Amino acid sequence: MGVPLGPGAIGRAAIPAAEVSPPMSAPTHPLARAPRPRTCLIVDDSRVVRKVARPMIEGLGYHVTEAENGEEALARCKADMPGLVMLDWDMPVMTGIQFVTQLRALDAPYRPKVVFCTSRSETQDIFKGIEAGADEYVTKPFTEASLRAKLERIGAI
Amino acid sequence: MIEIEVQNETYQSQEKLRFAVMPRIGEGIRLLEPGGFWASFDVVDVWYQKAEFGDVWIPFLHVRKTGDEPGQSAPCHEEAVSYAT
Repeated sequence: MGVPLGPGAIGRAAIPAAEVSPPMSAPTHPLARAPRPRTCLIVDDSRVVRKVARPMIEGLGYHVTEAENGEEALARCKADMPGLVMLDWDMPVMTGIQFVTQLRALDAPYRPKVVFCTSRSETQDIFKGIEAGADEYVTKPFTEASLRAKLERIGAI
Repeated sequence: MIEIEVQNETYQSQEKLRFAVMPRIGEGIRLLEPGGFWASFDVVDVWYQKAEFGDVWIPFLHVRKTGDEPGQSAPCHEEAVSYAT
């Protein structure tokens, strides 16, 4: 017989083992069959943005490749699917949203993380990007700290 | 006037601006910042890219705010504003 518990006290109760439900297994994505490699594809028509983003992402432990537009990026993904795609919104030839739509339609061994990089004026459209299959977005100009926070949130680092 | 695509490292933006002359690498240019003040930017690189249309080469500038280190964080999250010379 224990001491009666007063207000604010913490009590413990033993639950019979038979009543404990088995741990739920996390739902797996149909494409999450293989681990994602530490490779990143930066897709941006701005040479300077690619130049700025590259050392940030390399600093996070990724091997980085670059593409100037969605069409080139899609070809690179078909040849060698990266684990992470940093994607500009507005590009010539194929826009970011067109790219991510086609990327998600590919039968890949794993589901690459896609992060949209947008300017402030484009953030109103970002939900279209998320709907199309992007995982996260960062607003330009982004810093290494803000990028790291976003990537940690989606489990990319 | 020469129309130049200016890629701004500090603001990670790109805009088409008009210049009287083509700036050279190492020169400083004055650009209007989002806050409405003029600031000095260093010309880090100059190059030309073939346009989507015809046999036309478009000049590009890579600029960085004077005093900024490469890869340093940008001061604000607003787009740069165009200016005319």
